Amino acid sequence: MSRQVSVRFQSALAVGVVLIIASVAWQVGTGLERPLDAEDMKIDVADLGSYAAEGDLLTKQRVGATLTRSYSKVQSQMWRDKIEKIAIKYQSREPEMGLTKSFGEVHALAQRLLCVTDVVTENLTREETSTAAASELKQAALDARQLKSRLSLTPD
Amino acid sequence: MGGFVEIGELLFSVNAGSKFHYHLLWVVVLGTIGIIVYGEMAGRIAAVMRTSVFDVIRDTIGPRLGLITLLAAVFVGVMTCAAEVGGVAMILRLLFDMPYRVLIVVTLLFFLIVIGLSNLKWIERTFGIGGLLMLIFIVTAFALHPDWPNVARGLIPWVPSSSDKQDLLSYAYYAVALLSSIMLPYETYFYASGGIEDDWSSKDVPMNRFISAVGFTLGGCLTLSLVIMGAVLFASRDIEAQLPGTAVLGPIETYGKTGLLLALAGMFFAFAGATIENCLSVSYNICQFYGWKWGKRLEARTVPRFTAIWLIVIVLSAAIVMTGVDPVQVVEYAIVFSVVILPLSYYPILRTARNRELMGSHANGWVADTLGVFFLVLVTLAALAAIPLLIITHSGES
Repeated sequence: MSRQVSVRFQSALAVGVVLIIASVAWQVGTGLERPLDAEDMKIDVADLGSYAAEGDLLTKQRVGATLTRSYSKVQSQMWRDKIEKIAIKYQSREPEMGLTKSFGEVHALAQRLLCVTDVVTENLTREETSTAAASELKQAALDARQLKSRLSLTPD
Repeated sequence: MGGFVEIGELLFSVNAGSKFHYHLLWVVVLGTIGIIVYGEMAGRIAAVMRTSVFDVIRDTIGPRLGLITLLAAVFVGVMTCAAEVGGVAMILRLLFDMPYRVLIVVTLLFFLIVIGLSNLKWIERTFGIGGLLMLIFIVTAFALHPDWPNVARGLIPWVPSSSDKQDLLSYAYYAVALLSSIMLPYETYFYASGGIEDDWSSKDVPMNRFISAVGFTLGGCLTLSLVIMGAVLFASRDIEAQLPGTAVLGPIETYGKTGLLLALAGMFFAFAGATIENCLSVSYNICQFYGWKWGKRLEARTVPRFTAIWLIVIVLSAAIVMTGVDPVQVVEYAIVFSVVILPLSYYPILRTARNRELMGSHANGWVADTLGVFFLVLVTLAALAAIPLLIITHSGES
């Protein structure tokens, strides 16, 4: 190497890196404790709607015919985990002032989806269960869309 | 194609189509031209001067700024590598239904064997050819019968007319992220280092031009097809793909189980190729910056630092995803941070490639120069906007 970097510069750089990491960790830490605002809820409702629509698409496929058993099982399990993560968040966190009603609606939607996904993941090969779940998921996707619009207009 | 379309680009492309229909197709075209321009320049420098990207960076912008670029490149490289290891484990889980953490260990062992025991040519060929299975997404995009006049309109730069400020910001975030995912810096680092490994010389300059144009164009076509698939299949349903397995729903809808298996196999090779390229790139970059002996073509014991670095990177990557962190989120951040180091990587390449004293008759012509300056300005603007957009739009979710 033709030109070397001084030890002082490398030390300053190391301090800078540590400070950046510490500030990011602090931001993440405080973010996990603060009450949920309308923006957080809008994002979660959009995610729930997306999962419901994805579930609808997934349950229309047939294990054995268009899907392998492993794909069907694993994908629906991962999809269920994502919904569960949101449901848990609404059990452990508080809403911002004036957002209690919306908070309750998002929580209820997450719980409802979780129940449907449980049915889907436990009955992968049963056609009649899948058909019933698909229509419930379709309805949940529509409800999520409406809830998201309401959250965009007036938070509560 | 193995290595060009990685887990982040796959999901960003599908979601760009899902959120904005065909309106971001022009970004894919722009990004593909950009990576061809800079990939070709980096390859040409490697062929003519036998100099790698980080040699050029250190000598052009100086050791201090060079060291900052190196640190950022190593950080982004390790994050991307970790996400790809997680992505490969997820694909194996979808194929074999085994516990995720067990598959991370299996994936780690696989990479240790492949990188440790195979030569670079074999790696490039195997993962390049295997990655061609991703062509199933191009076939799927055609089979879904997209609205071709709208696809053509999407190739023209467009800004949404929506009065919603959040929509505009989200559009800008996706444009920047998509551009970054196509122009990921490791692709240039790996490509140029690969040229030196393959012993390129001035007579390989035409071949370099051909490889960069054809290879990156093929990858660009695949990205276009992913955006189209997202627009046709996911936009009307408001689906945002957050798992690699969701992107497979396109081939499943059109070709059932065959589509599913081809897509999963293609994704395996593409993500695995990206893992290897990222892992080796980090090692190449560090060794080149400090002037240490490097090369996959050399016996491992004759390049102990190079070997130790790639070993540490792959083990560290596996350890990161073993903690349970979501690989998709990791790669999302890595891609956005990547754009920040692009100007610091591309400026030295441009300055060297246009230098007639160093490059002689192989220095940039006016076309390469004009395109080089244009893309340097573009990535600099994207770099300035990337992190504010990431924060304001909550990673594009707002």
